[in-house]
Amino acid sequence: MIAGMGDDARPLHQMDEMNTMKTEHTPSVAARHAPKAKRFSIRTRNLRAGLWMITPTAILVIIFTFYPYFYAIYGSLQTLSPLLPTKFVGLLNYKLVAESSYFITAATNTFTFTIIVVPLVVLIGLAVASLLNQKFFGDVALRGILLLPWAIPTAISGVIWKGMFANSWGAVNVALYSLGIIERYVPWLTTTGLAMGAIAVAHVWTQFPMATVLLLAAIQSIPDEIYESAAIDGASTWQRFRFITLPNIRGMLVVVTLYSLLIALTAYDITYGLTGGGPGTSTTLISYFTWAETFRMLNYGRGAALAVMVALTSLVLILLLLRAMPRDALLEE
Amino acid sequence: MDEKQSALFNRQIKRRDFLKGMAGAGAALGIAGLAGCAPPAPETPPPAEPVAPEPKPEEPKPPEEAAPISLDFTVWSYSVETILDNIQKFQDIYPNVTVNLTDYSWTAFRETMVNRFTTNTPTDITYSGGDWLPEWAKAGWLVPLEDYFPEAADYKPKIVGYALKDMTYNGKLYGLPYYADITSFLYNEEVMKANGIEKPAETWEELEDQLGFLKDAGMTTPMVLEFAQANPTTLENFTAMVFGRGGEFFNENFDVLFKDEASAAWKQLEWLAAQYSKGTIDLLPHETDVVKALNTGQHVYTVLYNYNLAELNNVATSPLAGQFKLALMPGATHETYGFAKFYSLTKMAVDRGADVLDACWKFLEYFGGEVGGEYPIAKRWAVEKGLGFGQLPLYDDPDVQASFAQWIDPMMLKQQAGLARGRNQTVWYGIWSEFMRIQLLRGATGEISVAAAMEEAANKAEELKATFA
Repeated sequence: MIAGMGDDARPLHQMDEMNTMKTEHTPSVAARHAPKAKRFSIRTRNLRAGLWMITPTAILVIIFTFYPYFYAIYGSLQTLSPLLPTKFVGLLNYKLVAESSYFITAATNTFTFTIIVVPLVVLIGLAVASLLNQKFFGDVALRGILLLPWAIPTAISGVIWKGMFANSWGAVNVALYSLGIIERYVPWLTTTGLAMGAIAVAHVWTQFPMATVLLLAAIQSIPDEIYESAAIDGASTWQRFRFITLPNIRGMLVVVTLYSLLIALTAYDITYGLTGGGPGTSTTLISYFTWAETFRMLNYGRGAALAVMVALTSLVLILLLLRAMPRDALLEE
Repeated sequence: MDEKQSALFNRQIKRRDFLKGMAGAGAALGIAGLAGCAPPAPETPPPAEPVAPEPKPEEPKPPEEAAPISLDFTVWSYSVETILDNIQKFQDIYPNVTVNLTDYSWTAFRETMVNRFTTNTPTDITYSGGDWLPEWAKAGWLVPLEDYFPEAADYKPKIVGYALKDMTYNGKLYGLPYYADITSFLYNEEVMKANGIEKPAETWEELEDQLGFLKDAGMTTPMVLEFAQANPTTLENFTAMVFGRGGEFFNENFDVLFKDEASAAWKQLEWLAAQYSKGTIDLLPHETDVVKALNTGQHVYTVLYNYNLAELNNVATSPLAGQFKLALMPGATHETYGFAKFYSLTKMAVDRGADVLDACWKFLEYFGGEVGGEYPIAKRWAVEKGLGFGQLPLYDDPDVQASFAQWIDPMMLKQQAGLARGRNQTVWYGIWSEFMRIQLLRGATGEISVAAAMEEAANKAEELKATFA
């Protein structure tokens, strides 16, 4: 708001004119109506200025968000393939996807994977952020090093973790065997349950650093005085964490949880690099299924249907999560 | 290779022997044809004398005023440094031609290329494979070499039968070989014998007994396979196993042959599922994983593209070099899968005009054909990397013979190559193969029954056949 305009959003020189008219006690009809007309004009000008300012962003959003989204919806209702003529098929693609046993497998795997990794990413991120909030020798260097797993391309992380979990030559087996913990090498990547565990570990390793950085930033924004006064009042470390830290970072916790959720729902590279979706299809996630259906089977229509279904599912999950969170949590950030 | 070894090789594997072997492959195709399994119209190599390489003048020199031409060449990421060096050698001969190389992952090559084609991303020459050729040719992305270079047809008699089959669509030749190979049954002889087994299994039943025996003797997984839904080679490996039993997936009309419990494909998937449940086989995502695993000495058997044997027996890179051998594919017929990967010409190149087309042909001949009486690039791949080749005259090349003798028993190779055959392909085969791989993995690992996997794969084939009819 411009200084001097008060509730009446009019420029100063107009206010002066009005004051003059009031003083003379001769308000003409034209004078009474003039300010009203100019106020409308200013609103229009503000509106125009606002529109001009958001136009570049709006254009980008329309081109890169709305158009692809609506094209995906349109495509999901067609037979879309580079090898076949395009034809409207209504909801057939959705029906065929939903009926596919492979889809059910991939959806179940994705759900399991998400349930495992999201809490781990958030909890480990929080624990490490709390640790890094302390002053100790090398803490600054450690913060930088900590980001490395997140900065490494996920496909490369897959290769790294393959070196850890490979059945015949992986570091984990070699270490466990050398320590006498196992008598035979464990087929981590080719046993159904173990393979899911392996990709979860690799995924958490790549994702918790980002969560740590975000949560550390939130923790460091809490004034020290609060902790000091709590300490004077005799609050224990746990109580300070429980009653000061957590309430003050809950907004960021929501953000980190949402971010982790979306990353988990769309995870692809790590699985592809580590297990190739196997053994069988036991680590095939919905993102891989979408890609395979679209590009490997050249069925763009069915792939679009899958993408729409995944987007809607994500939206529902996000809304449920937001609803479960304190109403003012996000506003605080 | 020492003199003794060299003499043995030369005695064992004369040119005529190889040609007889290749004639055997042709005969196998002919027999398959009689059984209703023949390809639409492939030509088989002649059983008699090879066509002598025509003496060529010195390497051609472009006219000095030739306009600069740029070619876009796409490959999958195998030994890219060698490809770049080959390109440099080509450019040295044809300085007016610049080749831009783009490489993609093997496991994502097909879909990447399909997108490249559909978006008209400039592509003049590309690697291709038999299972994709009908799809890409039907879509008009690739063109027959014979339509633009009549002399391309002269290469047909010089190409091994299964490779020619892979490069042929509707009776026309669509490429010249990058390499042609077979899928092989390989074993670690030393580890096998150390565990009390004297010779490799000859049937799948015998192999099952041996795997059980090895498992009981303490070996975690006696057999490792490259078998993953994301990897196109998975179906090639399974095909080789099915061929070992004398089976096939489709007849010449592309009617499904694997819905029957007695079919070779059904039996083979049952075999895999049984072994997986017993824990005698490990299914790994990529051939590099298999090679690494074999090099630990903890496994005996595998089924892989044959060139992997060169890697396994390479003293420079493999700690167990010399221990690995080739055996005939288990099964009643011991047949295996033979294939070609090849250089093919795109419609986009044709549309660019005569000069580009001329440069493309020079490129194709230099890389997959004959230059100055030699096959320089195919020979290089064979000698340096152990890649198989589709050009029959290379079987007579002493350098190739000497190189191969260092890592494989030439007689066994000859015998197995003579039993190799190509697959029947159609326009929807590429899509079906993607689906089939998933069903194979689900069936093999027990996620679904073998019957369900076969039924889903059969239904998909029938759906695609109807869609593309």
